[in-house]
Amino acid sequence: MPYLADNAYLAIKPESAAGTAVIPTVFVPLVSESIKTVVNHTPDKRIKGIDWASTGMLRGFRSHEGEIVILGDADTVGHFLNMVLAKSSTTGDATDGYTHTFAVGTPDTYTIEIKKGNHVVRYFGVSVDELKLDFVDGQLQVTASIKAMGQFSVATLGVTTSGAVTSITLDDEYDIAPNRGLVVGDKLDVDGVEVTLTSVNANGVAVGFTSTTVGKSAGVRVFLKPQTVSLATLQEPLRLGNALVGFGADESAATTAAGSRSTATAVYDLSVTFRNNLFVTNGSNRLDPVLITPRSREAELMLKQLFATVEQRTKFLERGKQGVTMVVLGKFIKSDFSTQEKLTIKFHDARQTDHGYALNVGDLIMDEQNFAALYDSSDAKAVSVELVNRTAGTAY
Amino acid sequence: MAKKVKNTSDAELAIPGVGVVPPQGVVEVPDDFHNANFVDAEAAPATAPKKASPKPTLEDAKA
Repeated sequence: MPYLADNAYLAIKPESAAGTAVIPTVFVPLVSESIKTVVNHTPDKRIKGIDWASTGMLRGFRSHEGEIVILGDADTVGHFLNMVLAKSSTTGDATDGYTHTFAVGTPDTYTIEIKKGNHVVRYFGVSVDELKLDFVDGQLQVTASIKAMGQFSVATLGVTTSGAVTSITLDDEYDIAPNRGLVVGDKLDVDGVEVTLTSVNANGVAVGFTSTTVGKSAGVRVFLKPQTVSLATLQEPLRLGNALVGFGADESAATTAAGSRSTATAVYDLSVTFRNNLFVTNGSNRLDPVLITPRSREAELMLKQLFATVEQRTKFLERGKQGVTMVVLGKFIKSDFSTQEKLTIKFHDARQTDHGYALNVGDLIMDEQNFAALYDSSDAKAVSVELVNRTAGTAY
Repeated sequence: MAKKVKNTSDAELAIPGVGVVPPQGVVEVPDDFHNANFVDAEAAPATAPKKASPKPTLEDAKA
């Protein structure tokens, strides 16, 4: 059934050059998505000697944006961290697991594909504006708000073909470069005839393939065919129950506190949000965004803990600095159970922007806290992230 | 109709309806299979391998 959402897929891959599409190879189980192309069409209201407001539709600048929601296993979450932060290094191996460090910097852009029915929508130049990590039913859920530089999904044949041909020309109703986003190796369905691309012409309208009898009239539908899904071994989502949260005077003390269950602080809800505050603009060269770039980054932390002492209330009112380190452990990687999946997020100078401890009949009093991640001048950083998983560093 | 494809990724990949394919593993898939992690395992090499020159025989030496 083409309309069954469960038959869809999300596939992703980092791009070598921002905005240059690649064929995605990492298939990620999806919870939901709401990415759309905002076309900004407007009715043509030019004066034409008739007493009706409009006679056609004009193109506008476009944008491509929306949300992707996935469950955060240790392998998958790495790609999304790589979209919002910059990977600094990878050490380790397949036996012990790979340790990836992420820091504030220019993240990779991605090409992503979402299969919908019998066709696929490919977005390229994808950047993450905001990445939220929270725990739903105790499982890590990743919500990525993305923006893309363009899309390819469907097109129309622009020129009638007859006999065997080695290229087709796409119509320019959507864009004067309708082949943008296609890649050599893609399969196109031209009204029932399948062609595998061997070239994507620099003229923006033609695509090439080995000699094929297409025999179709201008105006027929052309669409990008989905791939067959291939799934790497899927790990379990990281869980709040395996998280350790440490508080301290600075990051070092917080990390020490997060080192064991006896020194960690129990929290009952937890979410982390990274924001790149992307600057997106249209301009010359394209109807699609020509520039998507991070502005000042920020991050925030939300958590709930038992109101055991007045310490957090005091810190809130007095704007006190705290280091906060969260360590989420996962399954063991090495066969002797000496190394395991691990996501570590460190806030070097976290200060509360909001603190509540409301009373409700029968309820326990909780510190309900929002923290802003501030830049720590002595550590020369605001946040640092480390991930141990089974994904080789070549993947991102 | 079916064709053979090779897993060029460094991961073991599960293909719905086909099975699990190890890295560099070759598997038979339906003709409409399309996945960027796999290449056609039966494609002819780009250039034919050179044939080794025949060794000279005693008759060659006499001639």
